[in-house]
Amino acid sequence: MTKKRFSRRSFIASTAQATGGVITLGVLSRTGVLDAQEAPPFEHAWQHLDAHQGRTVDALTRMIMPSDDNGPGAAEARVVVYIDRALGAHRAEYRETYESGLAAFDQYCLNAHEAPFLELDARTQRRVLMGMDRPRSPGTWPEDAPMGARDFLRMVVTHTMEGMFSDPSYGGNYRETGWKLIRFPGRAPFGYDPPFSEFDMTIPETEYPEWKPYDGPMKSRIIGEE
Amino acid sequence: MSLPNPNIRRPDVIIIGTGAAGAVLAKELSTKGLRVVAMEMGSFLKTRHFDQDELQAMHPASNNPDHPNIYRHDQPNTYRQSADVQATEDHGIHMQSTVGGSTLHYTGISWRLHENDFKERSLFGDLDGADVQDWPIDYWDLEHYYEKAEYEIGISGLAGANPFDPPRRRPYPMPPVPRTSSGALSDLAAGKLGWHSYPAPLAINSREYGGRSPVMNCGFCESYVCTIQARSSMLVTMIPQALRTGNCQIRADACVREIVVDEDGRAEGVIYLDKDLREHRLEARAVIVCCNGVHTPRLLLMSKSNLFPDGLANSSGKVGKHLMFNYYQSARGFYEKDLNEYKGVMDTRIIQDFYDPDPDKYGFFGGGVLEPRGDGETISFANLNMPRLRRWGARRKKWIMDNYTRYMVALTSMQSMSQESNTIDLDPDVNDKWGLPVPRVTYNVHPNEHKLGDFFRERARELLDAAGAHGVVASPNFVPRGDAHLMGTCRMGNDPATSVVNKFNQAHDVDNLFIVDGSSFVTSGKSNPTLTIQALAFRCADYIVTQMARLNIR
Repeated sequence: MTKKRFSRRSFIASTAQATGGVITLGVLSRTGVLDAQEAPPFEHAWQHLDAHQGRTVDALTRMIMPSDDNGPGAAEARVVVYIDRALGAHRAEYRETYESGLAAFDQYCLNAHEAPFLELDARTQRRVLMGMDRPRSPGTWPEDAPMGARDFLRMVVTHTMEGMFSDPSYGGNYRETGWKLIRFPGRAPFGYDPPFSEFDMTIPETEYPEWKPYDGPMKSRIIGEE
Repeated sequence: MSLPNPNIRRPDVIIIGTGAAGAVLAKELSTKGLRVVAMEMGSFLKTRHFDQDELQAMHPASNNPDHPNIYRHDQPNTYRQSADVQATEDHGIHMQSTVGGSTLHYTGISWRLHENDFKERSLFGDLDGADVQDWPIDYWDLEHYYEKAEYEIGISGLAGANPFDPPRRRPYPMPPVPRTSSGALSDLAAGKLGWHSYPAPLAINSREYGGRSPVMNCGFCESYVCTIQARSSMLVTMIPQALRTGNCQIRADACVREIVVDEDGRAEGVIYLDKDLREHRLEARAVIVCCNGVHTPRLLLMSKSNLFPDGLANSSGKVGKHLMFNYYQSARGFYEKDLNEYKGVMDTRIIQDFYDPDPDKYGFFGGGVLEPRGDGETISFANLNMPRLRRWGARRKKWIMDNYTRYMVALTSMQSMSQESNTIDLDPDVNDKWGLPVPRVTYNVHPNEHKLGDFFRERARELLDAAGAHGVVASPNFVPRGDAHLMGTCRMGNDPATSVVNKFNQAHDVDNLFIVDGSSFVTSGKSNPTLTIQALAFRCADYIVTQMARLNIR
């Protein structure tokens, strides 16, 4: 497919270009709050989420681990790619939960804000999540939803952190974005030598008394030797 | 180099389970010339199957064929807090069921029980609602076997460093592993508080030992399978030694569903299911059960016969009773500077100053230990439950960034009270992939455990504060649904009416049946039961060999 040129603020879900299931991701929501750290667009062929679900999950992960002045977030780490792939692999048992949870989430956004999540501005998106992050689901959360609002949010949060910090071979943590963010070097096939920090370098080793063989009566009982 | 794994059709001994006890017995007995088949319900994975991959080690949740089943909670169970409620499905029992068992991923802390641990009833009396008893053996029955375990398996440590250690005849075969930042802070705090922080004895090589590499401080430690074989797991120590004798076969992916008895009530052999659920029968002169505190009683309870209608070796009715874990509490301390606890061995210091405090003075029974440590897990840390901090959003992100390299954990581990009402039995409703009933855990804490928890949580705070933490977050008391330390369910004793095995780990009811693992513990100790399980296994092997030589076991 041909690469599509994006103007920085042009993205909304309805303009997403899906050709043969391949979709271009990585541009901002239309409010463009993340100008400075905008993630470059990339292409991803949806595997287990459909385009709308994928867009929605992507937007959720960006709220959960936002890109901001402190550094890149879920967008740069391509967390949604991790989730999409994981739903066909080691998180396959969550596929139906995503299916029904996302349907409930869509309905909740329509009930509460009269628009799909993807069309809400960043402030409202954040308010949506705040409303869900309470012990009791909001009144606008569909009653027939198989899970509560907070349970759904927590599930996506957990998987977002997995996509942020798991090995890049799972599809997220793109170019070790998550690891660099927290200064974790990742795999260490050759390990490390001490000192590991200023603490173990500067705190003196305790001087322990020298061991002497026990000089009391040795009463060790050995089977077959008694 | 490929080791022999001969097909042994008529073994002298069948061992069920290849973990801390089963592997030691397989090595000892095969070395003495007995023909051994060791059965394992999981697969025979090799070091190359494991990786420095947090997702693989810590968070898998399904049996996807792309991800070998190596998770530490890989067998299902059900749980209920008391016998009057319905059990629900759970994964609280930590147990790796591949060849080598949970020694593949354990922290490796390997200390000896103290002399007092074997006689708490005599020393401290009984406790309302609990069933504390003395062991039928004492420290001196195990001292030689502790030493044997330390040298044959490979334990690093520093003899003489812990003033509370029981007497020993030889020092550790290896010096301690390098101290981490949390270890250094433990030393600093203990110095200020008048406590004794000493190098943790560990089943981890500090230098080349047994042909295996020294530790490389990679930080992928507990919960991970060591990629360079520096951890002295059974898979890289006892199992290859057993195979090298040519007298031992490891039969993996083989789930024993029943131990069968002849008309005289002696163990005749086992019936097991292979991967394709085909049933096989194997006979031997003796059977040894080494499936630890949950699966050992489950197998005995599944082995019903006319002679043993309530389960094999269960004339006392005590099989599956007295389940014990090690209760624990922890606090997390945050510091201004980097600790980088993603480097190094998980736990390099232990503090035993409160190992057995006087009950009259402290108002609780038993004691515990502090095990200050780090954990480098990124995903778990990012998802950590923190007061007044949402799980998501810019503040969460900033918090993860600021703190991932700057915390340590003061884990405290303590005694669990033996209670007859804490049990393993067969779940009446839920079956596993072999079509066998899963173990049902019924477990509640004794009030004493929460008193211990309160006391040790404060010691954890004290340690972190003394080490200069700017913030400390502690966990509340809780009721454990499971644990990695699984003990007490076939307790050892001299009286066949109140115990399952005698002091040689031989079933009172069946003289050619042995039960060696955490289930024979009478009391839980304070933490880290593995070295004691291994010492019991070395000792039981000596007993079996002498009995077979004397033809007491035909």
